[in-house]
Amino acid sequence: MVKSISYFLFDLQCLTILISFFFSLRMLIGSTPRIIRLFILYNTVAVLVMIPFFLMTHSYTFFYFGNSLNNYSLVFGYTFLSYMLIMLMPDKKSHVILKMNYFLSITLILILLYLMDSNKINYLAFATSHISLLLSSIIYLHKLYNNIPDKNLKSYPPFWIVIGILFCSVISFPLYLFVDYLRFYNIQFQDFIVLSNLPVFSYIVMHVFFIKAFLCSLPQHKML
Amino acid sequence: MFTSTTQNVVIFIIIVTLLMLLIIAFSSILIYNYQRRKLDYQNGINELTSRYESDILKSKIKVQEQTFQNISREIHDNIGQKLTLAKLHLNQIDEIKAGQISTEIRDVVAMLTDSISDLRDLSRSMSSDHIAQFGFVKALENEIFHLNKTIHHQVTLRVTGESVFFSTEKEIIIFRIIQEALTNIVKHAAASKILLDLHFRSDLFFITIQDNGRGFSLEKVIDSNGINNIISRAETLKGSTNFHSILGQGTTLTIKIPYNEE
Repeated sequence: MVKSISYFLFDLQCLTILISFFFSLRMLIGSTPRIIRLFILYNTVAVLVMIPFFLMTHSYTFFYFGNSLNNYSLVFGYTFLSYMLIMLMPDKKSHVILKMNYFLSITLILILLYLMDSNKINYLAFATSHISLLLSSIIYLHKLYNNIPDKNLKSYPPFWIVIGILFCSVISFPLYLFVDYLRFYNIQFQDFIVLSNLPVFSYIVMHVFFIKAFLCSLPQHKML
Repeated sequence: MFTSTTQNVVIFIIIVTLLMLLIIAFSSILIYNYQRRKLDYQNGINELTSRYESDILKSKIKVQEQTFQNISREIHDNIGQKLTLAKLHLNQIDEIKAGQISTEIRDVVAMLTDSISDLRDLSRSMSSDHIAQFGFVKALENEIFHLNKTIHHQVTLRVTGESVFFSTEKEIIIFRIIQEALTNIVKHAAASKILLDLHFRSDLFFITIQDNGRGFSLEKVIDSNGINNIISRAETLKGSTNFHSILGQGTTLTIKIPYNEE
């Protein structure tokens, strides 16, 4: 039962990534903002990373580089989302704060990846990236609320993207942060269905919000 | 009884459900608060725009009134005096050379007399001194008296209700609104009867100007200066205007002006 839930969530995650990928392809047509168009790159990488894991899960094929791929895709994913958040910031001061946040975090992530066994999932690196993204998302929302309220949030793509990142980070970072602590007490992360599956759930939520953002970006056709 | 695994799955489902509810609630609150702030902001902007437009309009009226005053003074003190002097000279010629006076000179004297009278009327109607001194109702009575001197119109003024004192600035604007309406009727309506009804109601000042002229189609004259002047002046006093016109039967203009502009 535990496995079936995990499989279900994993398949759901793959499905949301695929839908998100196809919607981002649709963004290439029409006058979509550049920042939203760039998501095709993020989603392509997400699909490429997803394929070996999907094969591993469903055909019991073992990929030696699976965890390494996951670790290094984190660097790309984190860099992309940070770049997007920096670009969304309305003023120079926030740009500087977010850039500093990014450079400090990416340095720490790279050190962690270098120091620790790259064949194992580096939970601390994941936790660092999520804390950094969480901070950036909060700063974005703070700025959004303190600036002139001239946007319609329901159809404002950056808002949904940031909300997706915020929820993914807020759910994931405590779990990733305390994995090693639990290990210290001989508690295996995989033994706890809640612990092992919540990050997957958080990624599903994030991609659902991305899909919502892409739907907002679609050109509105006149009703006949 | 539940096994440990089943319990774990149930806990997981509960946590996921709670998280989803939390996500939906949080997003909804964020959007709701933002939209509310947006609405407040829009209302603030609209209020500022309206106040700004009102201030601009008031300034325009003030400048116009000042121009009227200057022209009125110029007519009275300069042109009027010169014409009167010219008339005196002509009269002197008349007295000295009575036998040689030609009919043409008499005609010129008559024309000058008319012009001086017209200029005095113009000067009086442009000047707001008498409004400030005697109030707009007296000024209107005076205006109507001069209108009634012509054989073309019969203007009736009716004042009802308990009179309310307005500021001089407000009285001048009310006077100009009615003056504009009367001028429009005289110029365009070909009306023989005009009824001006001023009703001081307990909540607002109600003006009705009714004529039996040819009427007009509102769509055709909506952009005319006369009508726009009436509407914009009434708006500066937070008032409202309503034109009701039937072709061949006449027009009724009603203006409602609140005592308190807030």
